Amino acid sequence: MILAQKMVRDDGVLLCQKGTELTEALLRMLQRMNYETVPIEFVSSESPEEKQARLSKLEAELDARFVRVENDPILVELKNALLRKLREDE
Amino acid sequence: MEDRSEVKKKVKRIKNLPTLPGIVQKISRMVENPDTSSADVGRLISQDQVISARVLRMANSAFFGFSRRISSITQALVVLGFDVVKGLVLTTSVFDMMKKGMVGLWEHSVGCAAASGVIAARLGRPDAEEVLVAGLLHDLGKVVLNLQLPEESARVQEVAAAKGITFYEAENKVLDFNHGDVGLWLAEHWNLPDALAEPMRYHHRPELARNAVQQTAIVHLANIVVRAMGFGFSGDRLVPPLSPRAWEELGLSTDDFDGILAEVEPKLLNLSDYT
Repeated sequence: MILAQKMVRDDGVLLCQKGTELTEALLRMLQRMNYETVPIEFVSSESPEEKQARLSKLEAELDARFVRVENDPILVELKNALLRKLREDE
Repeated sequence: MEDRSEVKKKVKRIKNLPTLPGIVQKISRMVENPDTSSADVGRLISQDQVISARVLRMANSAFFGFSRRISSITQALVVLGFDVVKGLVLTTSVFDMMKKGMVGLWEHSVGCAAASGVIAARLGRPDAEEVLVAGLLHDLGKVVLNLQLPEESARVQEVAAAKGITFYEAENKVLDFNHGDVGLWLAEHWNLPDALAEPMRYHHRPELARNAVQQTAIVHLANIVVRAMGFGFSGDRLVPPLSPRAWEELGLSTDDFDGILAEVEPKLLNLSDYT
């Protein structure tokens, strides 16, 4: 497992860089420091069709959330920003 | 329709929030006792790493403007005072309640807190931590409604779903009040400052805020952003309307949305940062 983002202690001390291999020893150390979860890199096993279907579903859900405010030009820009993010993340 | 004064009584009957873990109850009791010294509370808090971390984080936030880093709990208590500690204890207890059966609302509150903090920092507010706490507590009225009036709360949710309206709109139809009113009663009960009380009461009507105008506008927008992201569940899945006055108060442009979303999302990956 690979760490998906850097981990920084509350006092600003860097604990692990993004991309660090999460070994058993490192996980035990983080557990002792009371970290219950760590962000790991996602490894996808989706086919292109499955990915497209999932994206379409997320876009439909986004449309449904904005259904009452689609006449507000500011909130339409918020929706567009979310759509851009959704597509960039894929 | 539930009588407004009767509900207010029920809400006020909550002297201490239920389900507080042992150490939080002890801190709460100690803070209420005028004979308690900072060293006493400090010793107790130091035993809880989560509360310790939060007290130190606030003590070192730009809001307080200390040039030297505060490194111990006792030192932080002297500087922050017992009232802030009370607010932190409250936050911890709210999360405890939310995690038991209100996971969606807990996630929504954490998301709103993260977005509030990001927007406050973007506006250069030195009290971004406090605005974050306002975001965290904004739907506290819903938590208490859910606990004190579970049947009415379920009915509100049913009406919201059936009519395709927001939970807030359904509250005003089914009850004679909304979670903002309940939030205000709670804030009064706990003597919370306007910086927390006004966002709790007016996050759906930010134009009515008087003393914490920008903080309320921030929480109003943060609530919209986190709902738009589809993160958590606060009773309905609709993006509520944006108040033009609040938008004007913030002085943001729509170009800011990409940056806000990029900053908020990673904060939601590790929810334990907020508990």
